Amino acid sequence: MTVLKFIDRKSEIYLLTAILVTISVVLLVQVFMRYVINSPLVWAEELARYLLVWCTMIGSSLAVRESRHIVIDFAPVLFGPRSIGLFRLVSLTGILVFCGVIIFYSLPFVQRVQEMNQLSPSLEIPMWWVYLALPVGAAASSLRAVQQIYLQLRYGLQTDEPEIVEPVQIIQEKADR
Amino acid sequence: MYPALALGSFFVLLLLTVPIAMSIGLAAFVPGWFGAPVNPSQVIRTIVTSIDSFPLLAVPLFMVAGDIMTEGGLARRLFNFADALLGRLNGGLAISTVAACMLFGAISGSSPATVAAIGSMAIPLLTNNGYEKRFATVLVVTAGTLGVIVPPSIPMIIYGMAANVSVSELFLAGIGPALVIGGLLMVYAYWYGTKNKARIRTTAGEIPFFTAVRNSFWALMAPVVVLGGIYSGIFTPTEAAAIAVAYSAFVSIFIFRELSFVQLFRVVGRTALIIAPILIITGTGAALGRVLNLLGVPTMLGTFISGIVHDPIMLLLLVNALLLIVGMVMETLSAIIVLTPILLPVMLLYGVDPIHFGIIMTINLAIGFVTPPVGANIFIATQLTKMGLIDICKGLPIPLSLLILGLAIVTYVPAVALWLPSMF
Repeated sequence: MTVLKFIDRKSEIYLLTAILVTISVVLLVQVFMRYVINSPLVWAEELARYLLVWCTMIGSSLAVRESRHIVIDFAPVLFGPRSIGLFRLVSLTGILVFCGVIIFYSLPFVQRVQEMNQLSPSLEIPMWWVYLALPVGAAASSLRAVQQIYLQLRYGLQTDEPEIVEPVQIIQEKADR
Repeated sequence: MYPALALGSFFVLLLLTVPIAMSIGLAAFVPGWFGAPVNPSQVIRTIVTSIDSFPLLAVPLFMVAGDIMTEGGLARRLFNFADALLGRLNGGLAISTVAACMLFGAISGSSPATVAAIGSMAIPLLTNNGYEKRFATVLVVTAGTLGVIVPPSIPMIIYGMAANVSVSELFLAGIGPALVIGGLLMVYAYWYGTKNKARIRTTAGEIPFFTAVRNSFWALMAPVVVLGGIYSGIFTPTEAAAIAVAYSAFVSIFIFRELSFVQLFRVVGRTALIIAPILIITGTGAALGRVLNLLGVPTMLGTFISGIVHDPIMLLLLVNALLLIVGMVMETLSAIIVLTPILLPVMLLYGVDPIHFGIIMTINLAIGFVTPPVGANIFIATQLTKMGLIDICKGLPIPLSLLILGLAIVTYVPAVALWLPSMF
């Protein structure tokens, strides 16, 4: 597996798994410290929260790749199966626009937070590291959207899911909740 | 004017099949672009600060725990336990299905996840024992709502966040309504079982009662640990969710031996995929809610409502009707996060308890999981049974009206929800 293929298929899912496992472990250790050792970890809650922000934004990019963002699909039902591909393009364009807007407004925002030198209350890490998740996640999502648009155009407008060679092995049995 | 602009662009984007999260997010910026006094960096800040929330952490963790419990064999054991307990009654297997949904709901906070976990076992079993396929499917689809009404519950966590009330208290308030609605569905199952007694075989007794109890002991302990820990105040709902993950992972790997570590990580990775789309909706939804608040929507709505209704009874009727319609066309969590800050001030004005309102909202939107066109439970059921959407919907009227009856009881007898929290 080449490096690029690895990044395409596994990067987000590995990162997300690592983040979720870390969050669980940190919170467990916190409960343990509070009740057994009797010296609560003040930074645990904060770390878990910041990781959640990053988890959301990275996961958002993966969800674009896997078409897992929750969509109300009246329109393709209304206009018949031939319109599915077209609406997928519209949908992906909408994602691109959203990401563009987020990057446009969040970058200056992150910069301002950085200039203010604001530190988090207990971990004392710079707050802009947390806010940075927004432009980074939006940038990653827009890359994924471009990738999907390319695949959609390349493999035809009629097909529902563009045929990606060997997609990430995700069992499809559980739909969005 | 500005609120209409925001909501209008939201619906147009939705109809163009732009994902809900992105439609909401863009709609939050729209009023600012047209000159409303809304600063875009406020939107940006709200997206991050609303995800950067300790109560919200419980959502992904409960989802991970629910998936581990399904894959690790805990869900199956809960079902066997329910069948050993209730299987001998008329329609016993169907009654057990409802009970299993309640038990699974006590460790999972998601309605579609409950349908997937219990339905995949119960529907084939029910049809093999003489129940009609449509009845079996519709029963699981409606009983799946118990997944969010029985605590822990993801919609309640989101409501607690949006309304700034205690999630633990909401969890306590969910128990009474869950028993009412579960009871109604069990009566329905019993009625069906009595009517079709000739065709139905019972499976109860195939697994002796004590064997079922022994086999399911570790699965039954999961809700005890999770809910017991929350109610006794030992841990917060978020910590309880982390403990649920650890507990279910431990039991699946070391006691039931149905998962390996590699499989465990795969389950976590797969869950990660459905977590982000929900959390991003929470972020952009909170931003839109805030923008609508800045534009004065709650005040406008308050004056509008006080013009047509004068007492809480009528208000609750009106709000229930509104939420049922919203639940039909909108995704649950985005509805909660956008509507709570708008509706709650009005409800408080009329003396409705915020906890009570949270439960009413949760049940309303849970019913939305069951109603077409946007009913997540039905979609899961179509995948499980290969039945058509319309075919399933034909069986809905009776159980759906029972859900609405349950909602009416909870709405107009506040004690059903509020009695338990008042004891603590």
